[in-house]
Amino acid sequence: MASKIPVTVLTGFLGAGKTTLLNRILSEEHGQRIAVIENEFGEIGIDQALVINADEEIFEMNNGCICCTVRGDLIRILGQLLKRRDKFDRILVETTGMADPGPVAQTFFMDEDMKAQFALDGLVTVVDAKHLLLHLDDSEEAQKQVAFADLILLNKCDLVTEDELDTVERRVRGINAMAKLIRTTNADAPIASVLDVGGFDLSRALELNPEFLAPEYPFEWAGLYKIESGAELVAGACGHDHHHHGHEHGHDDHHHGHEHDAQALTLALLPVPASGEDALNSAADKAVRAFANKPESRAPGSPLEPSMTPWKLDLSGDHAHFPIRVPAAGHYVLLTEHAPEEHHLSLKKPDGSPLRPVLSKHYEHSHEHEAGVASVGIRLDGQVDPSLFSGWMSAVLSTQGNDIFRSKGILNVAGRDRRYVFQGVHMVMDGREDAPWGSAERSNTLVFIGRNLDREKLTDGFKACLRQPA
Amino acid sequence: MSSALNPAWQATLDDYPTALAASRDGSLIAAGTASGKVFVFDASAGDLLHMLDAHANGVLSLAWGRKWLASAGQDGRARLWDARQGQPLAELPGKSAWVQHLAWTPDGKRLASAGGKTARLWDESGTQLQEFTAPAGINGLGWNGVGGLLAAAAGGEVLVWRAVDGGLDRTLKWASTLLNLSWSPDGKIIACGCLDKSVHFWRAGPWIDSRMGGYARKPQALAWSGDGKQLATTGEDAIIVWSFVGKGPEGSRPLQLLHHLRPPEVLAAHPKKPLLLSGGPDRAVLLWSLKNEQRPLGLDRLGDSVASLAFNPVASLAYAAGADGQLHAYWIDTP
Repeated sequence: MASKIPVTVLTGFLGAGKTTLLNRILSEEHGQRIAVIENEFGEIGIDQALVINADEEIFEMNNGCICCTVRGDLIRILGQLLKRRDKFDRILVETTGMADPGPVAQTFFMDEDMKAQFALDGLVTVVDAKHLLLHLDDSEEAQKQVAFADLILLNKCDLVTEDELDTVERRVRGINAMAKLIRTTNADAPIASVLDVGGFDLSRALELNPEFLAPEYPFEWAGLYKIESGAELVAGACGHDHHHHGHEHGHDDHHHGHEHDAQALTLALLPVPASGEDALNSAADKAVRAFANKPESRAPGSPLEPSMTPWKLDLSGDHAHFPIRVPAAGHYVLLTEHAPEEHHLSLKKPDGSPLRPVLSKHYEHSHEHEAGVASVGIRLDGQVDPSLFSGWMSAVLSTQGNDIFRSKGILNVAGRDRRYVFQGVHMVMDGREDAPWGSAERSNTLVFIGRNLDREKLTDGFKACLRQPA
Repeated sequence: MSSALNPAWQATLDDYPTALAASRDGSLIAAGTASGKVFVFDASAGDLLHMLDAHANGVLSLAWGRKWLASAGQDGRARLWDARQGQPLAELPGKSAWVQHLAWTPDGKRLASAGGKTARLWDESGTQLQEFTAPAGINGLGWNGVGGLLAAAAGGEVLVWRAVDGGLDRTLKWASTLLNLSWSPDGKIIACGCLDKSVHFWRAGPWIDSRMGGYARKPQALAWSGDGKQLATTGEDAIIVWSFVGKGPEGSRPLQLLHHLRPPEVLAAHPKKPLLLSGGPDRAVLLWSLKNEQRPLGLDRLGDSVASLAFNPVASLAYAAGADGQLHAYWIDTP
């Protein structure tokens, strides 16, 4: 049988620029024969294209379960398209901003005939940078459109300021941490990037590079230093009473109420190959995993070394000194649970003079909860026990499948040389072994996108699937 | 194997055959294609009598009344033809939705068509008599034995309308989407294949329903035997045939006709004799007796997947069309 026909689903609210993009795709020279299934209000202005109107029709397997719904109109139309002698290279399905992307995606995984003939390439969502925040606030449909997407075109960028764009992008990232995001004006994204997303292609699952938002960082500050042996870290107990303002302001000024232990500070020290912002960022990503490990206590006077195990410094005394031991002089990133000034933390050179960071960055710790739809990203080291994982995953999907729109992950399975990749839509899951780890650093990355997701519970649940070191 | 399917004639169509239907008097066979043409052949000799430009973008359904041929297609229209003369008689207007289903009353004087959520009733001259609206897209259409009630499967329910005044007689509900509908020729049973991999049916009169589950796939095709006592269905490696004799299929073991190498997808039952045709992606056309579970009576292998099947209601002829556009006619040689 010939290879499967790729299907791109194009969605977005009225006026976002969806029709502009569609017309561009159809009129630009790309050598592909494309059939378009347009929603009932579609308005494509290209004559030579085969355009079929569809009226969203939800087929239910069982009463009410969203996980078991498919699009009957698509099954009917695509079934007929297969019968035509003039075959198509690709199908574009345009849906309205009000359509639920779930049944559209599931059509290509749950219906045997569709699954055999078509391959869903990706969901492309066009959003209007100027109005998106409004839409997200008052429409669950808009949240879903962003949540399901593999590619988001942040369109009409010319109508907003750079700052506004950053705000919109942050909000989009909060909902969907795994989608690619392109800023456009007049929906002018490269056609190839729209038509070849590979969002459901397991062989491309390794491209998964989720951009978890800063709120997920378990540290508030990172500083890149040039450190040589003999340097020292000095810290004092937290200078002010953290509960002092409590009665006046409630807990608003306490970063999302996590227990702030003034007597201790957790930090990590990681080596980086060079100076620069990239080095700092990659160390921060790595530190997310380091901070997931149980910290080791350090009394004043005991040495600190670069390690994936974070150090918990005992700061009960007035001023504590911790010698820093590095295997070689070079660049290191220090990451601290709280901002250094809160603990009067500083570094000193061997000669006692202050050692200042070359570069530093604050990380937002306060947690802005997305009303409803959000991404939960998990990055952890360790080896996954396959039977524990499949048990946990099926429990998660069977109880929360309605609320989990998309899931994706790359796993380090115990005893396996290859990466295990998976992806899912609601309760439908697909997974397999992929490229060997080789010399790459092994770790686990998972993303869940959905409604009412409990980050801590998911993270703990996954942690319990990790094999304990013997 | 001595086959009861003996090649009679063969013809080449211009595209994928989407519909196949023999006239009630057995003299003509019509084939519709994905290109939108309708080919009319002499049923016995195989001479091409007419090639009709029927529907832009493709024919979806064909059905014979007592005099005229009805066609429906992706242009959102149904049409009436004097197929013997090759003349169009009437265009039955609709909206943009594909017209997917056609059903003549048993006497062949009135025609029901359905596209999208709308069903319409027409007389033989193409005058609209009624219009019915369903809450969801219509996936199947059928008349009761005397032609007074029209049933349509839409979403998870069957709507039963009265032809005389266009009123809704009753609504039969089920929890899963209904994929098709077939009202038994004796008018006693409405059967529907369901998305939940079952066949659901209602007994007319008491309107009591039953569910026959256990299918591996969706039962996409249903075919009633001419006497209305047996229902053949796809959805398994074997063709599953339920018997409605006595207390009915509940609790009984169906006939399982197993010979296809891949699950069959197309069925046609003889309107009078206990014979069944089946075909599918394994390219085999099989002729079965519905009396027992023996091997098929006849077999032919086409050049491509079997797309459409039909019996001639009068002459001992059967027809099979392949996805390659080849139409085959066979003499049926049964004891």
